[in-house]
Amino acid sequence: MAAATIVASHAFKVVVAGSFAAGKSTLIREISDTDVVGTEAPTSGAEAAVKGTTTVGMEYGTFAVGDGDLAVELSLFGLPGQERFRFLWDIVSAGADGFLLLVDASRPETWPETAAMATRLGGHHATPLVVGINRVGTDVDLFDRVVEAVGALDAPHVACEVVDPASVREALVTVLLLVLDRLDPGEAPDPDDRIPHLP
Amino acid sequence: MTATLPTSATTGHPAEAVLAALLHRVTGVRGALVASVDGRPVASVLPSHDPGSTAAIVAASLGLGARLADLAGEGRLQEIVVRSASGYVVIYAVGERGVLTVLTNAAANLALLHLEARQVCTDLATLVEPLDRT
Ligand SMILES: Nc1nc2c(ncn2[C@@H]2O[C@H](COP(=O)(O)OP(=O)(O)OP(=O)(O)O)[C@@H](O)[C@H]2O)c(=O)[nH]1
Ligand SMILES: [Mg+2]
Repeated sequence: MAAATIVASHAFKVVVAGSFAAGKSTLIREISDTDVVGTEAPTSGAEAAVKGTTTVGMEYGTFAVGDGDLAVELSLFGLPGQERFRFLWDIVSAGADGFLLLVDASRPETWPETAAMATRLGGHHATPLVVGINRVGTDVDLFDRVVEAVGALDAPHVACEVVDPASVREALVTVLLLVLDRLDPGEAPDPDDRIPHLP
Repeated sequence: MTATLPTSATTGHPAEAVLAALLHRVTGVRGALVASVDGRPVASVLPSHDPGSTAAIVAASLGLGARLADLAGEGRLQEIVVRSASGYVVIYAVGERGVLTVLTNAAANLALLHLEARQVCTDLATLVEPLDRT
């Protein structure tokens, strides 16, 4: 249990990425144990037709997996989606332990852009990446088409309904398990031994 | 001392005349930009910077600055002042949805700038708000 003792005193930094309106902010607000610090501003122009506000800086929230002495704390950082805010990605992502890249299955026009993000984030080779597919429901065919469009085939792809805490939790646990495996590549034990009380 | 001659002006938006007047009125002002709070340029008179990327940096700074302002207590952020060896960058709220950014050299009189810029913000608010609602 040495590994669990080490991770228990540590918060892992998970950065939530994705294109405009993928659901990054909704995910963090849905799951955070603490009040989310955010930077929403009213949208203008064509983006105002999609939704009323957008992230212009970052979000910060927290999420604890497990409980007691063996809880693992995640610090969640949300990125802005638009190309014009891309300069913030490296700033907010500094020191990231893992990335969750969100893609909205209902907006295929955002898939190519998401593929480029996957390539960019995958380039942080040492940092684990999980692709979370939002609004895919139970549509297996749609899921497959998103996977094909986004690529990042080395990374796990999971359904991630950002308005469903159970689904978000599952996606974040997937990121965490990759992070833990990466910490200890020699002997990756059964995840259930390391993070008790998973859902 | 004269202001650096602007080499790029954006859209021909009426707010540009207001910015140009500010450049003439306050010694040391090198450029100015009006943008929406979500990071799109509306009008600018900038020495050499790209209005698009400048508007994005300003919007992000304003978003984070508002969270910093929360640390001071209740009440809206009024301005952000960045001072470097080369001068100031000052960011002011313009109504609910706009933001004014002023670049100056190191010799600029900040108190005078605040006085003039706050009046400019009032003038700009009527020019910027209707545009943002479209
Ligand atoms: N009903 C439903 N609405 C969703 C779902 N996912 C996202 N939305 C809506 O889609 C929008 C997503 O918005 P945000 O969470 O702000 O997206 P974001 O990725 O943070 O966007 P930016 O920060 O602007 O890039 C919101 O209006 C949500 O209500 C979903 O699974 N179900
Ligand atoms: Mg957001």
